[in-house]
Amino acid sequence: MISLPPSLREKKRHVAFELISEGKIEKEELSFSIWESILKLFGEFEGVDFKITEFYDNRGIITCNLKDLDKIKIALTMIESIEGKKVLPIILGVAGTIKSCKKKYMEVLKDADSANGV
Amino acid sequence: MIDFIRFDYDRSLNLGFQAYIVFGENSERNIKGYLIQAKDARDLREKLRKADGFVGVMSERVEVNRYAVMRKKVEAILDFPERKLDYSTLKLAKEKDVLIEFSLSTILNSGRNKRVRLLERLRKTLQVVKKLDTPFILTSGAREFYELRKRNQIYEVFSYLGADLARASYWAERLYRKFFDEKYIMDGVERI
Repeated sequence: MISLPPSLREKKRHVAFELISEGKIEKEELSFSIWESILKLFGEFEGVDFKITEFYDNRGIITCNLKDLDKIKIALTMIESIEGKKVLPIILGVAGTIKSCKKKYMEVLKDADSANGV
Repeated sequence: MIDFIRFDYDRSLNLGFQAYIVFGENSERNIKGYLIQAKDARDLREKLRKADGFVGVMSERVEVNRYAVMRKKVEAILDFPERKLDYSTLKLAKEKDVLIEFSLSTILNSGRNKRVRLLERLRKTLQVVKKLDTPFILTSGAREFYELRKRNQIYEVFSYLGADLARASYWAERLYRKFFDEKYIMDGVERI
């Protein structure tokens, strides 16, 4: 269905995350790894649809449905390596809108410094 | 909250743990645990004689794990893919107040076919742990930096497998107090 009334639309959540890796990770590589992780863990019948809304400097936002939030978090946690580069995925937080997600989790990191305690 | 790891971590990232217990390696920055890998009960008995500090036992055999749980010096039964536990071991662990470790690295490091079996076994074990209210701890069990995970992420995975997160937090908090809270003596008894 193309357009549904707001009451029938699925509720969305935005997961802010950070990857600590051995090298630089591309958005496509990450997307492929998450798909692989989801299919490995939950299979095609229990699969999850998601979208990488933003990704730069190994930090990004994944958008998914509220009911699939746990699965996305687990799939992200279970990623060990991307294209042979070892990865430590860190989930920074979850927000209801992209705007609040950016404000809460992404912009804070821009000024992050061990000196100011962030 | 405490995490059990297998390498000396410099704590460069805040992952939601207040302290780390390192098994199998020397550590100056973290608490050093005493790791015992035993083939049989006799081997375990001999190794326990020399052991001190926070003792964790690793064994593939159910009999050895059951024996380990009964020994006073043993504080935790550590997790690895080949570990086997039975109902009576978990029941004894409750009586003797021995922690059962469930680590994320065990799941991460198991292959595809093995992982399915491991997860099935893990679900069953967590069900029994919940029924008997056995002390347990959810850890990363990391052998290197990239196997570490945030506490919330570890809890999320085990919650999906049926772990009681409220109890997990309670046991982890209790262990932390045992190490760092001078007032703590035992449950319900504190120095004032």
